[in-house]
Amino acid sequence: MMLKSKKIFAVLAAVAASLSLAACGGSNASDTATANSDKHANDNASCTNKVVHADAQKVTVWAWYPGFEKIVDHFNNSHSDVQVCWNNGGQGGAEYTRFQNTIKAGKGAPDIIQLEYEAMPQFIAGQQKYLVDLGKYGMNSYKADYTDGAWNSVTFGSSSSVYAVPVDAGPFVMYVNQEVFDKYQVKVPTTWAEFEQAGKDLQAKGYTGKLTNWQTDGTAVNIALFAQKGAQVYKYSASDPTKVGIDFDQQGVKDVLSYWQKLSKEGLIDTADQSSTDTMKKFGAGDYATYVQASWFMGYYVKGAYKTAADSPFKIYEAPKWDDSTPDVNQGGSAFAVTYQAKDTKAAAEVARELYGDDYAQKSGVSDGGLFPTWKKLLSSTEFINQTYPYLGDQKANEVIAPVAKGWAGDQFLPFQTYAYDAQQKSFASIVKSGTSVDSGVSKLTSTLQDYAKQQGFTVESVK
Amino acid sequence: MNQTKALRGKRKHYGKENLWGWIFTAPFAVVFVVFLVIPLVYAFYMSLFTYTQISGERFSGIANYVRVLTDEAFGKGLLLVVLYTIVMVPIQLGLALGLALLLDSFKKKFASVSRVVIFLPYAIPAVIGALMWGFMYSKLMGPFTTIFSLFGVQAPDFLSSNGIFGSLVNVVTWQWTGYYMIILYSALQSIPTELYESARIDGASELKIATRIKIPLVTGSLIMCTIFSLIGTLQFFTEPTILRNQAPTVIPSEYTPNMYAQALAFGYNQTNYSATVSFSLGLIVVIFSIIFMRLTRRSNGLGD
Repeated sequence: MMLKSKKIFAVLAAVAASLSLAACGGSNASDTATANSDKHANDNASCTNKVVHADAQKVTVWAWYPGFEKIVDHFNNSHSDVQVCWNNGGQGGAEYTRFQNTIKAGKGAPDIIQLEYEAMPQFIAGQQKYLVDLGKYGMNSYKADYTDGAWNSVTFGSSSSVYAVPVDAGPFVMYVNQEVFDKYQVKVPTTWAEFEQAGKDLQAKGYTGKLTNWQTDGTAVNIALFAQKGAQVYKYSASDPTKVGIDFDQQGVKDVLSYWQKLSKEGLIDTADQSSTDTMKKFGAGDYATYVQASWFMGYYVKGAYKTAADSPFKIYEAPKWDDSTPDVNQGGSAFAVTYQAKDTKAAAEVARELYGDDYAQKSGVSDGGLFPTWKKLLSSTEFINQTYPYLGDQKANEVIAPVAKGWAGDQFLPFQTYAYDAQQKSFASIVKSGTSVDSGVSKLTSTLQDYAKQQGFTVESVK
Repeated sequence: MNQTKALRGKRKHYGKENLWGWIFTAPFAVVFVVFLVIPLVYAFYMSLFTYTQISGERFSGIANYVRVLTDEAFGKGLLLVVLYTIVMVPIQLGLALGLALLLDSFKKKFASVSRVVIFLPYAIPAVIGALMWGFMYSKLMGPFTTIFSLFGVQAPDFLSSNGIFGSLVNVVTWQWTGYYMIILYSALQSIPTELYESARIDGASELKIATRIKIPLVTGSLIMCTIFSLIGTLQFFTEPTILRNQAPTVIPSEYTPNMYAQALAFGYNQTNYSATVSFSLGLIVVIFSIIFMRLTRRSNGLGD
C-alpha cells in the first residue's frame, strides 16, 4: 500500500515537472508588437466568406458588424493582390476572451480584430502590447478623415501612436415616445431640470408609465452621463502604460448620481436591469416616455420591440443638458486593430484602413449595418443628413445625431474595464435603488478599483 | 537455493496477475489520469503563479491562497452556498423520501405514472430548466402574476434581491427531487416484503413500518443522496448563471465560488487566481464530504 502511493506520487511529480517545463517553453510576448512579413502564412486559413482571387495573399479578420459580409465581398472584388478572410469571432466579451486565449497560446489570433474602444486598453496595457501601433504604418496621415472623439479613442493620449482604425460610434441622444408627450401635452425636455419636471407633469396628467429607466446594469451609459458633467472617471495613456487614473469621488459624479437617486425616490423612473425581458417588454408597451441612450439603441432595441416601423412612437432628440457648457458625449463604438500575431503586419495595417475606406463600404455600413459612422466626410454629406428612418416616423435623425458625433471629444477606459464595470454596477445600483449615500458609495468604489489596480501592478495616478 | 527459486516463481506469478490487473484497468486509468489527475495537477501548478498585466506571470508560491483566505468575494460566495446547502439539502431529501415512501405504498398504475412525472424535470437539461423558470419568474410574461391576481394578491418579486434565494431553491428542488426519489425508491424495492408481512402480523401500522423498517433500511442510499446533494450545492453554478441574464444586478458575477472562478478566468483575465479559487473550493468540498461521511460512518456503508 505504502509502495503504491509512493509510485502514484512519483508519477504525479513527473507530470508536474513536465508541465512546468512546457509552461517555461511558452514564449512571452515582446515589449512592443514586432512586425511580421510572411505573405503565405494564411494560405490555408478557412474563411466564412468566399475568396475571389484564390492565389492572392490572405489577411484574416474577426468582426461582428451587421452586414459585414457585403463589405468583405466588396473588398475582395475590388482587390486582386490581397483578399480578406473573414470569420465572426463572437460578439464583444466572447471575442475578447477568445483573443486572450490566443495570446496565451501564442497563436491563433487573426491579423485584424474588431474591438470596442473600451476593450482596447486591456490589450496594450503594461509591458506587453498585443495591438500594433499603426502610426508606424502611416495611419497618422488619415487623422483628418475621422471625428476627434473616435481618433482620441484609438490613440490613447499619444501624439504619434494609433492602435486601431475607427469604424463606428454611439453618439448619446434621447429617444422620446412622441405619442406620450403629445397626448399629455408636455414639452420635450432639453435640460435635466426640465427632464425631472416633465416626469412630474406626465405623472400629474395621468401617465401611468415611467419617465425613463435608469439601468441598474448600465455600463458605458453612466460614463457618458458623468462626461456630460465634465467628470472624467478613468484615465489611461498608452505612452505611460503602467499608470491608471480612477476617481469617482468628484463633484460631477456625485451630482449625476444624486440626480438619479432623487428621481428614483420621487418615483418618476424605473430602475430595472436593461437585459431583463421585462424591461424590453415595457419599452415596447410604451411604459417609458424617454430613453437616454446611444444612437445604436434603435438598431438593437427599438427594432426589436416593435413589429413594424409604423408601430414605433419614438423620435430622437438631443440628450438633456445641464447647462450651455455641457459637452456632446458618446456611448460605445468600435474599431479595427491589427494584432501582434498578424502574419504580414504591413498588409494587415493597409487592409484594416481600407475595409471601410471607400464610399461604397461606408454607405453599406450605415444602411445595411446600421452603424453610426466616424467618417467626417460621410457625416457632412447631404445624403447622410437627409436619410430618413422608418422606425423614427421617417425622422431625419442624423440632423440631431451628426453634430453630437462631431462634438464628442473621446473617452478613456481602464485596462481592466470588465472588472471596473462590475464594481461600478454594484455601487451605482445600491446608490440609486437602495438609497446608499452617494458620498460613501463613490469613495468606496474609488478605493475598490484603486486597490485592484495596485494589485494588478499599476501605479495609481490622478485622473486630471 | 530451491526455496529461493520457488519464491521467485511465486513472485513472477504474482507479477503476472498484477499485470493483467493493470491491463484491465488501463482504459479507465488512462481516462482518469488524462481528464482528472492531469487537469487537477495543472490547476494546482497554475495556482502557484500570479499574473498581472504589468509584470506578466510570476511564481508566487502560496500567495494566491493567502489572498483567497482574505478575499471578501470568495468568503461571501462560500457563506451563501453553505446557506443554500443548509436550506436546500433537507428540503430536497425530505421531499424525495416522502414521495418515495408514498409511491412504494401505492403499487398501482397511478404510482408508475407519477414516478415518471416526478422524475421528468431531471431529464430536462439544467440550462433549459433554468431558462424556463427564468421566463416563469418574469413579472410581465410569467404565469404567476395572473395566478396570484386570481386570489387578489400580488405575485412575489421572484427576481429581486429578496426573492432570488427562494427562487433558486425552487428551481434546484424541482430539478433534483425526482432523481433522489428514484434512488430511494429503488432502494425501497430491494427490501424483502417478508419483513413487512411479519411486521403486520406483529400488529405494526403502515406508518410504523415506514419509520421503523423502511427508513432505517434505506439509510445508506439516503446518505449517498445527501453527499451528492451536498457536493452539488457547494458547487452551485448553472442555475444562478442562467438567471443572471435576467437579473444581473441581483445575481452578481461572484454570486457563488464557482461563478467567481468563471468570472476571474473569463471576465477579468486572472486564470491563475481562478485556479486558486477552484482548487480551494474543491478542497473545501472534500473536507465537507469527509466530515459528513465520518459523522455517518456507522450507517452509510461506505466505511470499513
